[in-house]
Amino acid sequence: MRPIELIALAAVVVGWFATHLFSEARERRKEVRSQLDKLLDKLFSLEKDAVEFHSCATFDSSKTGGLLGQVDRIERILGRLPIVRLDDVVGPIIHHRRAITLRNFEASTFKPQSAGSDLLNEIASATRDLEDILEERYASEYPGSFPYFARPSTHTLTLIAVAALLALCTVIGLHELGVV
Amino acid sequence: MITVTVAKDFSRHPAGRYLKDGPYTGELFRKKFLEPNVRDHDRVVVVLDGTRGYGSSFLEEAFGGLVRAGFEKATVLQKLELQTSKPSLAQEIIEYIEDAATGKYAAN
Repeated sequence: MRPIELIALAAVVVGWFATHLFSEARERRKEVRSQLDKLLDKLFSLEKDAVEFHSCATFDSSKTGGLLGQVDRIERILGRLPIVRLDDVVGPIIHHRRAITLRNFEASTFKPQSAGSDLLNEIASATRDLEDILEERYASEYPGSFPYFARPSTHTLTLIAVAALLALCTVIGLHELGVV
Repeated sequence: MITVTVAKDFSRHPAGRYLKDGPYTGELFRKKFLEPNVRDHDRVVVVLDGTRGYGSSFLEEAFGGLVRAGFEKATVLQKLELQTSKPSLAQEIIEYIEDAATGKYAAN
């Protein structure tokens, strides 16, 4: 095998690998964006339900269980989102739960909230804080400019190691056969 | 040491602050499980997983209420061990115990 052929072969392998790497990163980015959008939909839906509950003329005990379930679900989904470590978002999660369920959440203390009340503002602010931190994590993990991802996944690193090993074995084999 | 599993020993649907607020409130949980066990045992393990979620008012009344009921903040923090897969729950409870004396998060 002539050196030019070896270079051409190496170029094909590197090209294939680069294509695979960026294709995987693009797919991963789309998948995480889709997970994040679903979570944000749930977050906004919870905000709407919480505002309705606290603004209602009378205390509606049938809605408290649903709200608690929704608040709990947000944290569970957050735990499955690959761009977030739960330990890093403890503050915003507490702020969010507290905004909805600490005050005015029992019949004994319930008072209908009017638009612009501190409690309703707090719910909006806690929701925005969570949204902002999630978007920030997404942008840092999947930046909008080349190479469109912050760091290779474990899967990609494994592929790089396997590809390097195969290339090394090929060169050694060709050398042993006297081709190179 | 004693272990209290909220979902199994109390309810899968804990909610509300005071006794009058419902059947499984923070005040009831404190009076039935936390106060006697913190008084009588060196270590109280509270397993929080398995419920349908917790409201902050429940957590504040159950755990912050211990300090308002006369237990030393340091004693409560030393005796309680919180087991949960959600780090925010343990952190929130600790904040309620630490701030209970100031009334920062008490009922409005």
